[in-house]
Order: sequence, then C-alpha cells, then structure tokens
Amino acid sequence: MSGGKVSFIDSKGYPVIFMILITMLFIGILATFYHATIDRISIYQEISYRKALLDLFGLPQDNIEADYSNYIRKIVKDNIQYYEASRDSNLIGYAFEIKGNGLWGTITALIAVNQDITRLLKIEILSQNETPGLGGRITEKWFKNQFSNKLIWEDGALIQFNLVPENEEISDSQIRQITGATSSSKAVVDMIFRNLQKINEKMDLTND
Amino acid sequence: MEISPFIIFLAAIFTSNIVLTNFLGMCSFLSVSREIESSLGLGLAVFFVLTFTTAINFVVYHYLLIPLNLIYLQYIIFIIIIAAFVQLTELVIERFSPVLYYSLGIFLPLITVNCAILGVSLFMIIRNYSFIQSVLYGAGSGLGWLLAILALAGIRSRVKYKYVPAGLQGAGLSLIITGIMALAFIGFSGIVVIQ
Amino acid sequence: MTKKQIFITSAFTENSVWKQILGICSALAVTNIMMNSLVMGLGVIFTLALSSLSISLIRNYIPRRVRMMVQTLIIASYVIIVDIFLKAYFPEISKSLGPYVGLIITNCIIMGRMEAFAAKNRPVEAMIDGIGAGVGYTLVLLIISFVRELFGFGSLFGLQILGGWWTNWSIMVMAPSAFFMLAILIWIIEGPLAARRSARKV
Repeated sequence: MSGGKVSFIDSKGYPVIFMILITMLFIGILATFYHATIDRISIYQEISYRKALLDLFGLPQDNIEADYSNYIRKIVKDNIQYYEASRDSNLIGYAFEIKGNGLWGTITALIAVNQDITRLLKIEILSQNETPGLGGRITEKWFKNQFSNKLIWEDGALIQFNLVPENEEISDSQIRQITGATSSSKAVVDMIFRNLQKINEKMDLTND
Repeated sequence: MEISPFIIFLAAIFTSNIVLTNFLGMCSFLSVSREIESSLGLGLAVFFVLTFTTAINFVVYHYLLIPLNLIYLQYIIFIIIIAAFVQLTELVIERFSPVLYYSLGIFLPLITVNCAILGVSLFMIIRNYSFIQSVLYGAGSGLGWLLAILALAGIRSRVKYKYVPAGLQGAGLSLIITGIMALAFIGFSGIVVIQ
Repeated sequence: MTKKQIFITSAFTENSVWKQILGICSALAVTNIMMNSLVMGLGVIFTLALSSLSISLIRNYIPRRVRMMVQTLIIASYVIIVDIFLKAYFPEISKSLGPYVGLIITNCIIMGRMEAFAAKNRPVEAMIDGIGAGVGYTLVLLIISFVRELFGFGSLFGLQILGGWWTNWSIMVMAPSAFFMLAILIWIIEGPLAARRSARKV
C-alpha cells in the first residue's frame, strides 16, 4: 500500500466518506431490485384478489382476466361496495369484503352469499396477523370450508354459529374451532355475524 | 382497527409475551439471566429502549417512509434508528447520571442486537397499530420481557446448586425452564377477550 | 484449513445453534411448519453467504469505528432482497413468515460470523464459512420442525403422513414445545460429549 493511501484511511473524514459510499451503493442495489419487482407484486395481488372472487362463486378460473370481466361486476352503492356475480344472466350472489378484530390485528376476508342472502356460499381470509400455527390456521382449507353453504337466515333472524371442539361432529349451525386458538376462531365467526347484520340492513334498504 | 390499547398492553405482557410466545430477544435472555441483578438492569434498559424506539419508528414510518414511498427500506431505517437511539441514551446517561450508567448503561450495547426491539417495530407495522396502540404495545412488550427474564433468573438462582445432567447444564436447562414458564403463561390467555 | 474443513467446522462441530446458542429467536418461532423452516433457512444461508463475501471483500477498507454500522447495513440490505424476493415470488410463504424474515437482521449468527470469520479471511473462505453456518442452522430448524409438524399436525411439508387415527398434539404447535425440543436436541448432542469430557478428566 502506498503512503498516501494509508494516511487517507487514517484521516478523520474517511469513515464518513466510506459510510456514505457504501450506503449509496447498497441503497442503489435495493432500489433497482425493488423497482424491478414492484410490478410483479402488485399484479400478483390484483390477480389473487380476482381469483379469490371467482373461487367464492365456484366460477371457472382458466383465464382470470377474461373470466373476471365475464362474470363479476363491482358495484358501489349507498357507501357500500360489493361484487355481484352472474352466469348466463342468472344472478348467483354477492360478495363483500369484511373486516373484524382478531387477537392481534385486523382480519380481512371476502364472503359470498346467495342472491337472497339466506345462505353463505364460501369465505376466504385475505389477511390476518394471528399467531402462526395457532390462530393463523384460520386460513386453512378445512376451517374455511366449514362455512361453505351454511344457512344464515332462518325464521326472520340471522343465525349465529356456535363453536365446538376440533374433532367433534357438527350440526348446521356449528363450526369446529381451532384447538388452542379459541379466540381467533371466535373472531372469524363474530366478524361474519356482525358484518352480515350490517349487510342485511344495507341491502334491505336498497331493495325497497 | 379498534382494539383497545390497554388490552394490547396487557396482552403483550401476559398472553403473548414477547419472549415466551414470539421467541424474541432470546440470546441475551439466556445469557444474562444468570443473576437477578443484571437481569433487572437489562430488563429495565429493554423496557426503556423499546417504548421509545417504537414511538420514533412509528413516526418515521408513517410520516417519512410512506410519503416518500420508501417502505422497502424500513428494515435498514429501523435498525439504524434503534442503534442511534441506544448510543444516544448511553451518552446522555453517562453524562448526567453516572450511578444509573453503572447499573443500566453497561447493558445498552447489548440491546441493539436484541431482536425484541426490531420485532416490536415490525409487528406494529404489520398489525397496523395506531400511535397510542404502538406505544402501549412497545411498553407492554418491554415489561413482559422484564418479567420473563426476572422469573427465569429467579428460578435459575434456585436451581444452581442442584444436580443437572451434564448435557443439559447451562442453555439446555434454561430452555426447559423457559418452556415451562411459557406453559404457565398460557394460563393467562383467558384475561384478554376480543371485543 | 481446507475449504471442506471450514464448511464442516462451521456447520457441525461449531454449530452456532447448539454449540454457541446463537440465533435461536427465529429458530424457535418458525419451526412448527417444515416449509417455513426451510424457507427461513434458505434465507439465512443466502444472507450469510453474501454478507460474508461482501464484508470479506472490503475487509481492509472498513474503518474500525463504523465496523458494526457497515455490517448491519450490508446484512439488512441482503435481508431486504430476500424479503422482496419472497413477496414477489412466494407471497403465501412471505405472509406466513410475517416479520421473522426482517428479523434475520438481528439473528446473532450472522453478526457472529462476520466478526469471527469474514472480517479476517479471504472472500471464498468467508463465503464457504457463511454457507456452512447457514446449513448448520437450517439443519437444526428442519430437525425441530420435523418433530413439531409430525406430532402437531400429523404432516410433513404439508403432506398428511399420519392417518385419521392420529390425534394431533396441540402442544407441539404451541410455543412451549419449541423450547423443549431445542433443549432436548442440545441434550442429545451435548450429553455424550459432556460424558466423554468428564470421563477423560478422571
């Protein structure tokens, strides 16, 4: 090493200049990488949302873009936003994005109901922050599928589901809870009930 | 999101203790818990740093990173803020209270690499907490960490003179004690009810 | 030391998790499902290998006073790359790992390897050491998650292995079992070694 270089490395300004250079280098690499993938991330999110909607109504998903525009219509009415699905000009039902409190944060989900809002068609959990492996299991298929084709409206009242232990047989108004995650299971059931109440009020108004 | 900040505070101490359910801050948790006194010192330092860095990171994230569209740099920014805050606290304490410095200050350098601090900041972002929720979550997690390390240090001081199989001495035994503590803390899960 | 020896030392004989009790935060948190453990392990291997390489390349130019800052910056950069990569290509796994990907930054193993090896050795050796430490770490994750997923869910990598007769042990999914499993692993590995040591003394 030459004498000049050593004295530069020993100088007071060197650490500062070094830090600035190295920070710029790595932030530059990160920014490039980020901008190269950002489109992919947002496209994926859009597509997975549409795929979830198609799946809720049991519609074909061969070509997400085309199928989505064929079957599903987004509607904003009286401050409520929902999706309407129809096939061969027959109305299948509606889907709503709902939110509720989980153990740790907001749970968001999509729920689909039939055309007179008497039956749940299917639910899909979009995001949650429950404990991984415990409450986080609300995203598992067996748990979500329990809500498929459940009767929600009987004798002029909304049905509230009861929770039973994971391995037990269930009747029409019951849901198997996740072992060790009673709170998260209950959060999902409550969230669906509370939002269905709201939806019922709002949709009744629009029918009048 | 309307979860009451007070409930988050309680939950962070008991039902979802940062060490016992999220496994954060384990390294110093295991190595420092040999003595009760140093556990108390480190615990207090963690509590202090956690509360303040969570608040600072919240403000930086919501009023700097989001407007500038630099969310992807959050890890770097958070860790730098934590490191800087720790250094600053060390300086201030050293200058103004030598007594406090000798009881607390020596633990401060250990804190930058304590993943509980960064973990709480990341959890607060992912869970979309408001400012009040974040600060109480940070404070609760700090207290929870303090509680856990004190309990472990207490138990370890009692076990010190008992016979322990050779392969389990040290870390192995501490892990088992921590596991039993985690089991006991599950008993708290009833006190927090989602409304 | 040959390159092979470096690898074996840092992966097995001086394994960071069971020998030095480093980096266990994430070792415990993600191990109830094997898939998460594998992805986490790969993330750590990637970060360790490239951080070691980078630090080693510039080791003669890093000013001593800002050494830790430089290391943190470099580690954090690679972790962000892992994070963005997972978000773009494996969004489901990225969601289920939550903040633990970001917490690779504070994984003491990485800092430890930078200080103990990469800052003093040539790039290729440093990188091999990094990969070795990462492989050793991943191995521990996989062993623990194998037991936890098998008993907790009756499955491995999400595939159902044990039939309907199996009652899942919820405790295996929950936090305490992670502590117990790691303790037992340390016991199994350290027990015979400790016995041999004390025998030699006598």
